[in-house]
Amino acid sequence: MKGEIGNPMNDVYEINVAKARLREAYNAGNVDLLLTAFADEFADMSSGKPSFFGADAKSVFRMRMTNLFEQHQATLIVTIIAIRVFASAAFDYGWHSLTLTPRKGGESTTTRKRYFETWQKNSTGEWKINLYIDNVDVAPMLPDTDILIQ
Amino acid sequence: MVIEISCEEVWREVSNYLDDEITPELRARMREHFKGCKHCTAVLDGTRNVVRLVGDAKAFVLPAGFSDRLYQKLDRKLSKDGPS
Repeated sequence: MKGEIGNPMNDVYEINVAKARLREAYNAGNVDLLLTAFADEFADMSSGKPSFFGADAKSVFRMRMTNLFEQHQATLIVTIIAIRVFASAAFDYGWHSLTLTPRKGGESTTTRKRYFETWQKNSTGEWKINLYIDNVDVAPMLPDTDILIQ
Repeated sequence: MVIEISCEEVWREVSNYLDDEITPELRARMREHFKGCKHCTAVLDGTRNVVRLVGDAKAFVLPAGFSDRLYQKLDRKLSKDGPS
């Protein structure tokens, strides 16, 4: 298995690269670069927002992120727990920690969300997100004692 | 640009990371991951402690008579319970 992690031909590596590009796009406030991570038609089920599907999702997402970056400096920290690849489909899940600092001044806010997303390899061999869903993270805890005893 | 790496990949390589047997690129990716992931940092610290413990022979010096007492206890236990 050693050596496979850094193999540029590896699908897992390619998804890691796409995820790094997405993070860079957030941190640069670059909507165009951010949108390259997504398929032309995708399902956006972001928490606290209405769901959008197909071509609408990308248009709505573009507008939402344009407004966000106009008003805030964003810093995204991505923690991928795992990536699973099945031929030309894949999914990954983990956490996104997004810090927003208002451009006009004011306190920064950080929101940590747990996300799940699916990927599709397109005809040119690029991995694109075609479904995104997340919800607000909850602090970790051990199971209750009576559950542990079982 | 430092490429992301998943927790699963980090766990697979954490021992090589400690032994410095990975490429500089992978090392940079893992270092970046540790900054944002408390879980993997805990795995790294735990693995480092185990490696240190195993490498430190003094940690395994047993008290005098320990082996005899252990064998006696095992004998008693086995003769009481019988073969499983």
